[in-house]
Amino acid sequence: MRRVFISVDMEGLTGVVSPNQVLPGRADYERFRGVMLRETNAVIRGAFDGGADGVLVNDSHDGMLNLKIEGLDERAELISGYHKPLSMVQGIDGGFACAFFVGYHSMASGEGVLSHTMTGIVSRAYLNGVPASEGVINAMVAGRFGVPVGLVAGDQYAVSEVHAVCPDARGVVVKRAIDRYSALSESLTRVEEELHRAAEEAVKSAESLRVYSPSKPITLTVEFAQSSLAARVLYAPIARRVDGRTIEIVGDDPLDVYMRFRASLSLASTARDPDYG
Amino acid sequence: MKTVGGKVYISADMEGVTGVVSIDDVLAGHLNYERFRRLMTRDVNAAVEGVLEAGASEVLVNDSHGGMTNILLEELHPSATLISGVNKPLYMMEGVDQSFDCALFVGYHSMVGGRGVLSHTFSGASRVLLNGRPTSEGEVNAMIAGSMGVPVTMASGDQYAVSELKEVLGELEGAVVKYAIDRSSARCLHPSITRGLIREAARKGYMKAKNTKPYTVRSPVTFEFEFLQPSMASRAAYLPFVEQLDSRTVRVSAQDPIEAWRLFWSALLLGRSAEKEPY
Repeated sequence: MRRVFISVDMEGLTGVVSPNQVLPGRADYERFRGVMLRETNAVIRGAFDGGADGVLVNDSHDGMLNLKIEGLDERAELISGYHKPLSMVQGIDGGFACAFFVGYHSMASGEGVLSHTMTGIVSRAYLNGVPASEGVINAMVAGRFGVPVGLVAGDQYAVSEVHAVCPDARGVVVKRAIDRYSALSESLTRVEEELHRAAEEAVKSAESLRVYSPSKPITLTVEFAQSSLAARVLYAPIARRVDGRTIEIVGDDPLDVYMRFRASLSLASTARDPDYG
Repeated sequence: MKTVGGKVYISADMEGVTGVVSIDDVLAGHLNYERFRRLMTRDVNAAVEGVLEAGASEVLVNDSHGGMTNILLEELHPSATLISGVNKPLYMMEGVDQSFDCALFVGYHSMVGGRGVLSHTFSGASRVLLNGRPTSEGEVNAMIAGSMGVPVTMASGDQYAVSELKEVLGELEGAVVKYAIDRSSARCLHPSITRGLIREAARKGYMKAKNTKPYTVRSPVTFEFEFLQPSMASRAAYLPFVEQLDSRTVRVSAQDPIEAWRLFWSALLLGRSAEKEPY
């Protein structure tokens, strides 16, 4: 068994610095769908060259309809579309040798390109007191199924945040953020080569990769942009309030903590005001 | 012991207000909304007049429709105080507590699937069962009041809204302000008539407060509800206490009515966040 799970986001692709490049319908979106496909195909080729016998790709950005299946490496399967309980790691199970995070970005309030954690209503998130990016949270879910992270690609912040909890993951820094909306990017050809090599190495060394398993009880702390969002989460008995706009989810099972986190974000969004947030 | 000179709680919705028959009457910004928010305020004032006449001295009104900023404070009876705005944990019953002699429902409508004007039971669900029986907003809200020892003694709305509540509560003063022909049509009584009907029902309702038992439901309190779309039910099932029964139906249950309300309401809100309009 050497299947590889690949979650692909968009803000951490090489060249991406602006919302206009990652939001469907915006001026440069189609170009960067192409880049997304090329980075994805590069890690798929690397995975197979490293000995993988199957690849599952999960489109993990926005409406999750970005990857064009007709351009995808024909050896891979694709999960696309929204409404997935495990969201960016939908499809993960114990049958994978390792997981790759491609096009990932840094956490909310961070200095990386287009930094955020899941949604704009989260102003900060911490997992056991450590700043939690999507990469860190998804690594926890993958770890729950015994799957280690073998590769993470994005800007320098996205990569180092995941490295902090998954030190064995191959990091590919495809660009260096200058600000949340500017970066110095590597050429796409060079990035493809690096991704290919890192993916190949990761699969070859999959047995020795350490699985991320946060210490228990797991505490996921979420600070929202506004107090009414935190108040709305507490309608459901799934979290406790830390202060006006901060809640805390505590549990022993990473999957349970993750599902309560997902429910919290969706519930909070129902209290959002279109003008005042 | 509750005595004359006490407090009354009023939850005011809009679909059951005098003259309302259309969505355009009750949605902010729509054609006839400004007219009907004034009529809503007048229906509420009639109820306030009635309870004051019967000896109450304090009235708390909770704006319970849509964005909950419908009632015109500057035209509200001066003896009433007003809760307005959203994000209220008890929603249509925010502010109710043991200190009230009774609760009144003004402008209420009938349950989802019913023949009354603009019938629904909260939104997002095509069927809502409370302990196995189809339920209305009025019954759920009466349960919340009842858990605090407050009986609901008066309701105004169309004939279905009033009769549905009478059926579950038994004792209730009803003010039928219109007779539904269809979900979007009704034979409407004139505001000068409904004012008297509401005032009289509120007056009698307050008189009955002491002798009316608060509404109670059997424990455990179970809500079973069917969402409009399967993805809404799957989203609600992210919550650990939600049991998914089939593609669109979920169930929550708790010993305490307020706890059951919280589980129901959070699950419904969460499910609604997954609704996709075009399909």
